[in-house]
Amino acid sequence: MESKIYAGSTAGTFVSYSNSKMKISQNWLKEFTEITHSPEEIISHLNASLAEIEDYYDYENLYTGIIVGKITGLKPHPNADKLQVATVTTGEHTHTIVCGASNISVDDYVPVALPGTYLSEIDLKIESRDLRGVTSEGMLCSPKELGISDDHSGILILNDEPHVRVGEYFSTLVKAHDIVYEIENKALTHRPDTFSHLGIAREFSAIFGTKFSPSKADTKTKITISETHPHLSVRIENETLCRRYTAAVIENVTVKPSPLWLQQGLKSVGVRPINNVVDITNFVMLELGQPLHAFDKAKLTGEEIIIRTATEKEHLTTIDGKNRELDPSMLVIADEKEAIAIAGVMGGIDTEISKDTTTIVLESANFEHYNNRKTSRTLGLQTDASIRFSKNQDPNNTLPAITRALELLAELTEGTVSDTIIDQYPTPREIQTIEITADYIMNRIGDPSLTSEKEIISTLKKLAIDVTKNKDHLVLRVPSFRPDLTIKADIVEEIARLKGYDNITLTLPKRDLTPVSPNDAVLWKRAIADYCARLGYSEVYNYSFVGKDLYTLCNVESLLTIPLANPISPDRAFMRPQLLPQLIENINTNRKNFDHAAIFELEKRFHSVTDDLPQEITSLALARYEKHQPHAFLEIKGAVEALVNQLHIADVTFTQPTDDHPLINLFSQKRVAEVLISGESAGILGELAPAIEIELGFEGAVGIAELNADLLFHFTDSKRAYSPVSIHPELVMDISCLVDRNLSLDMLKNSIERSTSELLTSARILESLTDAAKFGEDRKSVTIRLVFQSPVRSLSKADTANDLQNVKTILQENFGAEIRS
Amino acid sequence: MNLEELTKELAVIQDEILTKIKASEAIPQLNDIKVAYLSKKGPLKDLQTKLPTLKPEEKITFGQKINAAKSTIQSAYDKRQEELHLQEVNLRKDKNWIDVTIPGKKISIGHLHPITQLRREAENIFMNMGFEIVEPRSIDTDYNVFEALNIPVGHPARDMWDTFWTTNGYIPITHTSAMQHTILKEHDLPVRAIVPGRCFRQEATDATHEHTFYQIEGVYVDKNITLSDLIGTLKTFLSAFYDRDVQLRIQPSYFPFVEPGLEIMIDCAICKGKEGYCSTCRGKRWIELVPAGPIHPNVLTMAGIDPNEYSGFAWGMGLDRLVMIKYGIEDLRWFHSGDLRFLQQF
Ligand SMILES: [Zn+2]
Repeated sequence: MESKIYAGSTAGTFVSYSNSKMKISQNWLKEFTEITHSPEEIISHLNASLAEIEDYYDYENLYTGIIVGKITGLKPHPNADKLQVATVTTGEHTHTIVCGASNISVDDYVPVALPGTYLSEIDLKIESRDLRGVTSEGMLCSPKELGISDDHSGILILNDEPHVRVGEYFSTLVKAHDIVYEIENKALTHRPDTFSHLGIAREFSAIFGTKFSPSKADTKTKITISETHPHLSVRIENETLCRRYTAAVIENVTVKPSPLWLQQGLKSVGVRPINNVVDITNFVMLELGQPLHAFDKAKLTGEEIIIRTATEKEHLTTIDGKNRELDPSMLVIADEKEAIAIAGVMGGIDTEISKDTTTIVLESANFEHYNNRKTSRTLGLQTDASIRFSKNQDPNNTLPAITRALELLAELTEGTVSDTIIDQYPTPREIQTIEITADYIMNRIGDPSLTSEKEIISTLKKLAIDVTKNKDHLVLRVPSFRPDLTIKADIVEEIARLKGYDNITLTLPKRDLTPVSPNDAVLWKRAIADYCARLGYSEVYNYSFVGKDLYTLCNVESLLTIPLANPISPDRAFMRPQLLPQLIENINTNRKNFDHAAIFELEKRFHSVTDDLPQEITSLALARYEKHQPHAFLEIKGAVEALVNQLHIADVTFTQPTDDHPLINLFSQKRVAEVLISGESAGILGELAPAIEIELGFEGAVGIAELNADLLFHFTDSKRAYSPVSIHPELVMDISCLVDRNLSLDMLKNSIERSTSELLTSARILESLTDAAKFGEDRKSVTIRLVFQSPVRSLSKADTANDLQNVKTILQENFGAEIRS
Repeated sequence: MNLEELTKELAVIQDEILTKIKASEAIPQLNDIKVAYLSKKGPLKDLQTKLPTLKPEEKITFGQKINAAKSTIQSAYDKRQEELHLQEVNLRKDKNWIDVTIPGKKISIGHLHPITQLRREAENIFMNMGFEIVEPRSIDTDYNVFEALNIPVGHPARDMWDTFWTTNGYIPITHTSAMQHTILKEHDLPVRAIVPGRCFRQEATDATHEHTFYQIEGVYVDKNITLSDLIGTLKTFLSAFYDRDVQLRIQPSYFPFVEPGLEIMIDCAICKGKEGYCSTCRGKRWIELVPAGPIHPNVLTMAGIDPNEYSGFAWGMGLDRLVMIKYGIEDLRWFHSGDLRFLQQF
């Protein structure tokens, strides 16, 4: 097959094809409308009214200095066996050129690079030079030297090019001079018509007000349309997914490379030339937006084309050589025996056009867009055809496209076109009607001076919309290639965008003076973050996705219960159930640069709920790292205490968590406390588990905490009471006693505060010591500082005697304490 | 005792006190000396008790002598006090010497994430403009994320949102628009709300792409809301946010939940249109900032609002982008790095 020779793009000047970009050739547009504006003006107008033009490519200098010459004489080189000396005419001048290729003969038309020409492909400046005693006045070029293909086996012979003429610029022969615009087509998902040069040309005419003449794509061939054909029949089994199937048979075709102008035309818009038949199908698709497919008729079993859904586990090897397993949701084109193409996506390799093909079946069909898209996505196979079909192509386009293709096939393959086209179109697409008024359009835009009814009508007509006036109503008949126009708002868009959004006079909505009701939860979170920052903690953001490795390292992998079906990577495979593991990672990142680090995060964590959306809890996690300190427990606890104090949360106690606390494994066994608010678990804090510290190679101390911020919000007391500051002196007394080692000092403190008079302003734990030798294995020595103060007078010891006695009684009777002093 | 003997004794006492005052080494010691000699049981008071034994004219003479002695002692005391004070000050001055050019003690201050800071700024401006703040869910249903926004299953527009899915079929929200339906359905009209939130898209991360990003959605529904109101509202916000008269440029775009779809761009304040490459606008002079549009009638209908009576607009602006532009941050990945070298700069 010849296609190998013509494979590959012309390096350097061309960029590779991308799915979200569509290349549009200005030459091609000029076939349908006038273009007089500069590329800059064109880009600015298309940007404002259609879609973003990322860039454009100017091919004005392509093939500069290359001229078509004709070989008038050829003789061997006197001093070199492998060289020939050619006499070449370029019209007025004759040149002697030494050539190493052997594929040239007298009367061949060849591309000649004359002295002074620079061949960018091979980085060579052509000069007259002596080659073994003969002066060579230029160079005959191979396809590779011109950047046409990778072929370097011989000189490019131009004899078969239509209208080839001595002395003409090579660039003129291949129609190379062009400007190519790159349109971002993501914003055109709803505009199937713009996936073609004809459609873009129509937009041009509406934007610039130029004449639009689609007739150049019309065919002059006379054809008959029929539901049957002597050597081919078509049967649509699924009329929902295949809305129309048009086909024709062409016999006696000669498959060969396309003429250079066609190859050049395809390449300039990023499509690789294959052979004349395939190139014509691509050409018509790029021109009219209708994807076509050609089958080698000799490779079909039987003479019936069946459009059906795939059978369970049906296989098809597509033309890219991949064997693909299909499923019954996918539509295929089949012969009597098996699938021969995935409908609207890609053809099968067994029936593809080869150089031996003589008879082809040409398909011009229309497939339902959602299903086409799904098939393409499922197979991971996006093609020029599927990109177009998935945008809801116009079923009325199959006939103009196939007739255009037949005309080109007759011309470029010398094939015999059957005069009968098979066409099955079970449910023709109906024309949409929209009724609207000019006032409505202007009111929705909000700028009455932007346009007029007269201008609206003329703009709509430019878009091929049929407009009739019925009193003040406009009755619009929308062409079938604009499925995006169904409601009045769609028409407002057409007028606004074509006038240019930038030209609209701006307004502001009218509203009353009702104040905004503040979102307490948002303001609350701001307060938490502010307090954390005041406490010296810096805010970090971590991903909501976590991986098994981190959670395994932290011994909490069982918490991962919400996996993603399509994670970006294994370390982002689950919705996070906690924030702390990532904060530990953050500490690990920062300890390389800091001896001290304090961070917090305030974000959501997720917990699965049976048959419902996951529960989302706003979590506050804190972590601090001190390289030069052995411990961080009291620091992290101090931060949490300061925080709950600032947030005015009462009844906060700290207790030894039970062994089944979900986060217990993160913590050092002896240095962990659960935070309770009114007895409800609100979080956990402590020092990082030694196992994790060792694993990560931490020195120093890491204190960590994670709190349920939603619960903090629930328990906060927004009514902040003020208590006057007493001017009378405090009376301070310390009590030391021995108590059970596991006794909660919060409980002790709360009991003391509850059982004393209002003269006791605070009971503060000064220290808690253990010393097995002095106090016994299960006892600790606790010192409590009692502070008495009266708002109205100075106190004497006698005033506090009663309270002091109560405290001692409680210590002894409720907590079994042994008073030491 | 006679006058002569008393006068002698007074001289002795005076000398003794003056000697002690001179020898004193600290102000408290000096004060003790003074108190000791002048107190009720002190030697001077003792001499005074002997006055009645003198003749009347001698009384006067001796009284004057005592007063003179007291005055001398007071002067000596004052002088010594001043000396000692000066001595103390000088001593501390020396002790207090420091190299004032060494850096101060490092105090750790907590920093808020730059996105938090700018989100608050944006929220405050919108609140002042009359918008309430609504928080989105982070994981939501296909219905809220797509269907209620006029994007049915199979719709090609779903290509624009590369969606993550949980294995049981929920979606880490691809846009804050996921909250639109709930707001329109549950809030009384007119509705003015913004939804700041974290969003997720299934795309590989690099300097300019993130699978986790931040948006501020806006929703406005009332009678007679127009396209020009939408553009005017966003220009007002952006001018307030950037504290300058920003210029807008608008391109048509496509989002199924608005009709028409707009891409609103602002002029690049980094290069101000000057020659040369600008990494913020990539040389385009305009920065795509806010996709927006009038709310599609289908979206209103699905939320139970009559599109013939009400109209509105919505937008979803990228908060990360606002932050990147504001600070000239070159790489999105810093935001989730947890790196204090980055975070402490804000
Ligand atoms: Zn710039």
